[in-house]
Amino acid sequence: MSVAESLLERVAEMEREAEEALRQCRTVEEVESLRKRFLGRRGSLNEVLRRLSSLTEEERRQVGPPANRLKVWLEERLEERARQIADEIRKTQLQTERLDVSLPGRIWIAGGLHPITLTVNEICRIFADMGFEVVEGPEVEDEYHNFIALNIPPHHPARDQHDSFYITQTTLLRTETSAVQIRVMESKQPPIRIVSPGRVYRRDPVDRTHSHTFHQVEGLHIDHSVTFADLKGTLEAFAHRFFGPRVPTRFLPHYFPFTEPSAEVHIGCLVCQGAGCGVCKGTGWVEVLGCGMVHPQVLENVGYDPDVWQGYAFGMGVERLAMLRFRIDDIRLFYQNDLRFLRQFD
Amino acid sequence: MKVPLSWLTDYVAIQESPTEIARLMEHAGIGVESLDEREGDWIFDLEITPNRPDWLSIFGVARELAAFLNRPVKEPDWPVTADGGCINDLISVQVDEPELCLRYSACIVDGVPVGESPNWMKRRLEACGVRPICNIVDITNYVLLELGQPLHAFDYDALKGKQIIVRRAREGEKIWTLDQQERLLDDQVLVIADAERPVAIAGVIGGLETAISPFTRRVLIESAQFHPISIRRTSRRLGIVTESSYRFERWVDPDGTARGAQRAAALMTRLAGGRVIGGVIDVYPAPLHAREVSLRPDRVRRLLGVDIPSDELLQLLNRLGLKAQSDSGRIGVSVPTFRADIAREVDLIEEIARIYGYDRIPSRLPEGAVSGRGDSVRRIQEQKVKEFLCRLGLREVITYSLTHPDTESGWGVDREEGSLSLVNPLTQDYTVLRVSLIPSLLQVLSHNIRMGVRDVWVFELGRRYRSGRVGVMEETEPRLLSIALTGSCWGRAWNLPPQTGRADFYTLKGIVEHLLSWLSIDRVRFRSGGPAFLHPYRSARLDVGDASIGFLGQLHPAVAQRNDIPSDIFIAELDFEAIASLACWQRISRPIPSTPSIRRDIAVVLPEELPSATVADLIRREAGDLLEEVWVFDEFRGASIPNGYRSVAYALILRAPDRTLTQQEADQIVQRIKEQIRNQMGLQIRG
Repeated sequence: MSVAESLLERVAEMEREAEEALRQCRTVEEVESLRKRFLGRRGSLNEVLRRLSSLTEEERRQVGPPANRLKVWLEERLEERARQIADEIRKTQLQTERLDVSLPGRIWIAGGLHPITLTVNEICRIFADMGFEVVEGPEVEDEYHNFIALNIPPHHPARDQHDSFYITQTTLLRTETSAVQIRVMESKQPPIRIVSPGRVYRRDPVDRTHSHTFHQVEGLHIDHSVTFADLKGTLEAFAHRFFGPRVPTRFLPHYFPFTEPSAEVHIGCLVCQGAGCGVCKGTGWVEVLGCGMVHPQVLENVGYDPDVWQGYAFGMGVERLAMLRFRIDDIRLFYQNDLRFLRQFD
Repeated sequence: MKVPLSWLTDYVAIQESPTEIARLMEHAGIGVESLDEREGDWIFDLEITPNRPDWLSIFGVARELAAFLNRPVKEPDWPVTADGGCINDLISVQVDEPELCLRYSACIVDGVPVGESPNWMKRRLEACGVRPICNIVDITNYVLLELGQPLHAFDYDALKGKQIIVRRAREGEKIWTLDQQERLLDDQVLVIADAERPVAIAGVIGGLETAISPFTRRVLIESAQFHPISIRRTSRRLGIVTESSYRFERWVDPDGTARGAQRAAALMTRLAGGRVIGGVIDVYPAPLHAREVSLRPDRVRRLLGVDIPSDELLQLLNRLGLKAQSDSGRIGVSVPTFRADIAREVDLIEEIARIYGYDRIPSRLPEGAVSGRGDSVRRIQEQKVKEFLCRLGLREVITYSLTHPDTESGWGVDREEGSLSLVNPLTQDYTVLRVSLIPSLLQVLSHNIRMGVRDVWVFELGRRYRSGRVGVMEETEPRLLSIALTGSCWGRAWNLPPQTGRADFYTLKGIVEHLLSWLSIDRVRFRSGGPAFLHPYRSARLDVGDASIGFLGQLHPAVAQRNDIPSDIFIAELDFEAIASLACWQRISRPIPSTPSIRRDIAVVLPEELPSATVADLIRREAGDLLEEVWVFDEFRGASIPNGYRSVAYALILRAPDRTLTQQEADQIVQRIKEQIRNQMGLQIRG
C-alpha cells in the first residue's frame, strides 16, 4: 500500500472516528477537545496534511482534496454539534427555571376616587361642556340665603321637607346648594350659567335611602330668553350623557317654592328598561331630578327684573344618581367607606 | 293620601283604566306613590305637594281629573231640611280673632242616636286609612275626606252658656285633649271656647269634655277656616299633626265652610236619622273675593318657548275652573278662593303648561352667552391632588362632617374655641361639626380592620368648620387634607418578607414629601413632635417658612389601645388652604442633563438624637453648585458603631452642566465636605 493510499485510508478512518466521537460528545468542552484532537496544531488531520509535502504532485492531488473536504466538513460538524449541545444545555437550564404560572400575581394596592367624587365630577363635566361654570359655596348658611331668598318664608309647609340643623338662631347647615345660586346672583348681573356641587344636610333619620348628609349638584341658567324648552333640552341632554343615549325621559309637573313652572324629571328605569320592577316600584320610571323656571320672586329678591331676565334652575341628588347608576341599594355604604365597596368603582 | 277610584266616580265619569288615570294624575302634577287593587276597587296613594291643598280631598282630585279629561264635575249635594227651630236660640258664635279665623260656620243636629255607620261609609273610610269610630265622628271624617273641609263635632249639651268664642287662650289655661293629655295653653294658641273654658284647640284637636259620647243627643258641627301659620305654629308646638291641622296649615277654602257643615248635617239626618235645627250659623265678617290676575299671552310664549294661541289659552284656563276673559290684548283671570296658590302671572303660566302638557313643549338647546370657565380653579386643584394621591395607591374616602365631641376626644382630638355645634341635633351621635378629619379617618380604618381589611391607605380632602363671617368659605370652612395608612402597599402578595411594603413613619413622610415637591413647595421643615394623639417620638410638624402647615406621625399606642385597634397606624393632616396657595400648579420643562454625573457616598457616625438632616444641610452648603442631589441611602446600627450612635450613609450626585466632571474634582469636593463634617460638627467619618 502506497503512502498515499494509506493516507487516504487514514482520512476515511478519521471521518468515521470523528462521526462516532461527535455522537459521543455531551458537553461543549468535549467538542472543544475533539476539535483539538482533529483540527488542532498537533491534531490528526494536521498530521495528514503535514505529510502531504512528502508526496508527489500526483499523490497530493489524490489525497489533498479529500483531506481538505474532511477539514471543512469537520469544522462544520463541530460547530453544529457545539450549537446543539448549547441548545440542549439552555433547554435543560430553562426547564429548571419553570414557574407555576397558575400562582397569583403580586398586586400593588390601587388608589381610587370615591364614587361620590366620581359622580360629582362627571355631572360637573357634562354641564361644563354645555357652557356652565362650576361654583361652590359655604355649607353653613344663613336663613336668608337658604330659605327666604328662595321664596321659602318661615312657616312655609315646604320647610317640612327641609328640616334643618341649626348652628345659631339664624345660621344653619344648608339644605340645598341653591343658596350658592343666590350668592352668585347677588354678586353679578346675568347672563349666568352655573352649577354648584356640594354637601347638604337634612335633619332626617338615617336609613337605606335617607341620610342626614348627602351631596347635590344644582344648576342655574339666567338670560334674556331662556325658556322651558331650553330647560327640557338641557336636562334631556344631561340624562342622555349620564344614563345613556337611549334612555327615555319625561317631565312631570311638580312643586318647588323657588321655581314656577316646576317639574320633576323621570328616566326610564335602568334595571327593568321600563317593564316595572322593585327599583321603580313597578312604574317603569324613576325620578332623577327636580327643576323649573326660576320664580320671579326669587329674581326680584336678588334685584333682577323678571320682565328682563328669566331662566331655569335644577337640582339633583348625587348619591341618588350614583345609586341608580351603580345599582347601590343603601345610601349608608357611601359613608361607611368599606374598601371592599369603594374598590368597585375604579 | 289614599283615594279610591270608586269614590272619584261619584263626581266625574271615568271610563279609563286605573293605570291610565294614574298616568293622567302624574301629568297633572299629582304624584302617584302607588296604585293597588283592593276588594274590587283601586286605591291610589297620592303625594300632594304643599302648594295644592285643594287636592287634599276626593272631590278636589276629581275636579282636577275632570279638567284634564275635559269632562264636567258633579258636586256632592247638601240639601238640608231644617226641621224648625232657630239655631240662634241655641248658640251664639263670636270670633274675637278675625285675622286667625276667617269664617266660622256651624249646624246643630238633634236626636242622632250614636251608633255604627253604614257599611259603605265604613269601607270608604277604611280604604282611605281612617278607622271608623261612630256615625257622628265618621261623618265628620267622611266630609273631611270628601271635601277637604275639616269639621269638628261637639256634644252640644256639654257646651256651657250656649256660646262659642273663637279666641286666644289665656295664659295658664288648660285643656284635656282627645288624645287623653292635659295641655297647658298660652296666648299663642287659638282656641274654641264656650262661656267658661277652651273646648278645642282650633284646627288641631278637640277637647275631651265636649267630645261625642254614647250619650250625646245634640251635635254641634263646626266647619271653619283658620289661619295657616297660626295652626302650623300650634301644631308644631304641641307636637300634634292631625288630618285637620295638616289641611288648615296649607289652606282651607273659606268658601266651603258652610257647605261642609251642611253636607255633614245632611248626612246625619239621612244616615243617622237626626234632625237639623234651624239652618246654618255663619260668621264671615270679611268675605274673600275671587282674586283678579292678569296674563300677557306673549309672556307664555317667552317663558315656555311654545306658541299657544290666545283663544286656546282661554279654553285651557277655563277648563281648570279659572274664569278667563280676553281683555284688550291681555287675559283677565278671576281665581276662585280654593286656588290660593295662584297669585301672579307666572302661576297662570304654570297652569297653562300643566294642562297643555309638559310633554308637548318642545326641547331645544339654549343659545346665548356661555361662561366658558367650566370647572372652578378650586376644584381643579383639589382634583389634581386627589389624583396624585391615587397614583401613589391611596384611596379617597368621604366621611360625615357631623360628629360628636366624645368621638373626637376618644381619638384624642380636642375641640378648639370657635368650633360649631348644632342647637337641634337629631341623634346622640351627631351633635357638632368636625374640627379635624382625623377621627373620621381613624373610624374608617377601624371599620375596615374589624371587617378583615388590613391594608388601608386612605385620604380625605374635606372641610372643617369654625365660626366666622357666614359666606366667607376660606375663613369658616377651611379645607384639610388628611391621610391615614395601615398595613402593606401589597394588595396581594406571597413569598415576600412580611415587612416589605408595610406602611411606617417614613412611608407616610415619603408620600407627604412627594406631594409637596410635586407641588414645588420647598423649604419644608419637619420638626420633631406633634399633637398629643401621636407617638411623641414618631411625629413631626411641618413648617414652611414660619407657618405650620400640618403634622404627621404614628398614632399614640395609648389612643390605639383605647380604641381597640393596632398601633401601626400613621396619620397626617395638612392645611389644604396653605398648600393650595403655596403650590406652583404650572409645569415648565427643563433640559435633561447631557453630561455624565459622578456618585460619591459618605458615611457619618451620628449621635441618635442629632437629626440626619443637619449633615445633609452641611453637605449642601459645602458642596457648591456641582452638587445635584444628596440623599440618605442607609442607616446602620451594629457592633462596629458605639452605643447611642448610628452610621448614616449619604449619596451625593455631582455634575457639571457644561463638561465632564473629573474624578479628581469629585474627590476634592468630597474631601472638603468630609473635613468640614469633622471640623464643624466633630463627627466621625466611616467612609
